[in-house]
Amino acid sequence: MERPALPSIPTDLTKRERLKPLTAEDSGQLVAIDRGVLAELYERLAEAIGAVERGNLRAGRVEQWWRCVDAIWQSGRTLPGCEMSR
Amino acid sequence: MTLGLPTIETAKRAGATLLVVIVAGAVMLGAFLLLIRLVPRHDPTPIVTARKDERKAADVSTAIGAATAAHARDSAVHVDITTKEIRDAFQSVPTAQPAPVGTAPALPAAPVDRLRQRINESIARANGAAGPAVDPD
Repeated sequence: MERPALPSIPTDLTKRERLKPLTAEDSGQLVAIDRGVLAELYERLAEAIGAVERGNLRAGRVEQWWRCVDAIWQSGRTLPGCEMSR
Repeated sequence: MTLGLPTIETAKRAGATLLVVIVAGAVMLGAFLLLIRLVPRHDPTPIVTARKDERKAADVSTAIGAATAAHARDSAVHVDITTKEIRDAFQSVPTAQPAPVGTAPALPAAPVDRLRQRINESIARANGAAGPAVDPD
């Protein structure tokens, strides 16, 4: 029996983001900054990193979802790893 | 006007008429069945299969959606823990002592080393969610 197939998934749709770690060495040149301002910067940075993590996660799940549905459309079978929550 | 019993002739004629009607009916039924046989019948198999596939795809979508939501909650919890640690780290920094007029106050060090470690752990998590690095080609 003839079976349908999904169109290939655009690679831009599942592109992941990679962050560079903090690596700065002490320069010895000091500046004064308010405690609250610096603390807020760190907090927002941590939140932004968390958002990138979830974005990467979603990109991976979109890719997985496409693979699983495409396999069902083309063969009628559910691929391993598609039903269980990994 | 006679009300006699039907004659043999009448009965014969009635029998012949009945026979003609039966034969005509059989011919029409045969023609009808032949016509039905000739019209291409719709095969229900593709529709049944498509409905099964739709059901499977819906189940897979639900499972993947649930897994994504669970992972996102996990990530949000990690962010909450990290921001709490950031606040704690800054609260544990002592207050700067007031300096004599004309001299710069002795500033306490910000907890940058401790926080760099926490931030880099979070960055490793975020990069880990991107999956294994793929060779670009």
